[in-house]
Amino acid sequence: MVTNIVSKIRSSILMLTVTLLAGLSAGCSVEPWVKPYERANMADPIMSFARDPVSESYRSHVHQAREGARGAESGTGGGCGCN
Amino acid sequence: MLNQEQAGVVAVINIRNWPRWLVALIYALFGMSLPLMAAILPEDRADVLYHSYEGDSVTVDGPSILLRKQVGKHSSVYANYYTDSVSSASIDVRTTASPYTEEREEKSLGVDLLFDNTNMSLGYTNSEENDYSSDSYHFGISHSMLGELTTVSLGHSYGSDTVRKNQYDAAGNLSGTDPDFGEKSLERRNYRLGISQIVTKNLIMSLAFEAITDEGYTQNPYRSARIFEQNPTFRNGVEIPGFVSERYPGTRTSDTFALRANYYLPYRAAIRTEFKYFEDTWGIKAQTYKIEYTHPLKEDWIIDVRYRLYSQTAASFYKDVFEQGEETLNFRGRDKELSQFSSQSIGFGFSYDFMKNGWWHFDKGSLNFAFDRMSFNFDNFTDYDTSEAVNLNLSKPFLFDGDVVQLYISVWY
Repeated sequence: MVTNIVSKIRSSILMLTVTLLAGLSAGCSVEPWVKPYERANMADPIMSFARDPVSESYRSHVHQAREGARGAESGTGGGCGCN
Repeated sequence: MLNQEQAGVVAVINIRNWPRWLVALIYALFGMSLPLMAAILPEDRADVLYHSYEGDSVTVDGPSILLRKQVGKHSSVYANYYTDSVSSASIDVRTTASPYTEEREEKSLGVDLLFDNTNMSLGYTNSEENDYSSDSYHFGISHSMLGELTTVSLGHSYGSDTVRKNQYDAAGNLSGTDPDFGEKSLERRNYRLGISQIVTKNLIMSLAFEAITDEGYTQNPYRSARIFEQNPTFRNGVEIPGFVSERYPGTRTSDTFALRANYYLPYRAAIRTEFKYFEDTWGIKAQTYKIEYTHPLKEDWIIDVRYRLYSQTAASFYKDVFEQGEETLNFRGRDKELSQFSSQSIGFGFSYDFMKNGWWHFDKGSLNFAFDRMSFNFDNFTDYDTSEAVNLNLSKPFLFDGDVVQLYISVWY
């Protein structure tokens, strides 16, 4: 059930990506609905997905060394140091 | 304009089963120069971090130093040095071996390149322990479009690891590596795809996929599984199972997707949320929920409060204790990270900004402290620790708490 959902989301992302890129390549232009002068809140550091990369990377490493799950975050490198 | 961190959430997808023409089309499209607004390079900054983890009689601490500097108009280089100093008497060590200390040293180098509206990144990481060596190569590309409201990212990493097994003398001192074990290899491949989207002037969302494949020696050379014996030993009336070697599959493939949303509140504060789903070919399925609240105080302080909930099912070949005769199974393992368990963590952090008007070569700086308390509860991993005379938790499900501390200073220049 969940695998099917993952598969559908994966397909949707692919379709979206290809459609967007193909459309833009063909010269289409889309009017941005959030204007550049309306992005002050987005530019605030508190809205960043990773405000401090060195800290986020370490926190990901702590979790990945102690859990079965992995991926889709800003972890780097190999090794473990966890046994 | 968005900076790279805001726009660069990398996501990941499993492309192994896609038609080749689709993969080729995506790469071809990303290689084109599109008539869009320009992206920017990451900021020049330096971070010096001290990290510490303490839990289950394990202490891991050390520094992490990250330097990043723009070179010319179109490139930014970075270097990271990171170490883990490990002192371990974990549940695995207490039940099968002697406490040990070791060090892991990790060095990374990389460059980000800017081509109009496209960022490309190349990186290399080397990690060394006395019984484990690892080399990783990273490639990523991100492209902003639709007036910079949308950013699409692709990434790939390749890793090559070498596993050895340490030997210890009668006094418990490291005497070299086991020649009978020799060296085993492990290859890792990561495939990432992501999309981030500014939805409103207060809401940004991202969807990330990552597929990872491991091929080679996937297990730990020191760990053992448990098995009931014909002539069992007892402690306090509890049967203590014996040991049998672990045997893991030679391949592991996993898919992870993460959905994240950051929302800007009307009084200058932010809520960050994350949902993550994971599954792999070993039968593990995991879910992660995270929420974080960020609140600036006056002009100089930022406070973070966060909560994270994680749960997973067990690997198909995991068993707390194997029955007699099951030593002939193709695969068997008793790593607690492959068992069914849940963990929660709650944490907070403070950040203090200084040099806001600049000083010498620096534009600004921040001093940061973060603390997280993690609590692990294992459903089918039993505590058979008999290293102490009294263990009140003997034969009960294992549980432990861990504390994570980070103290770091950042400067921008």
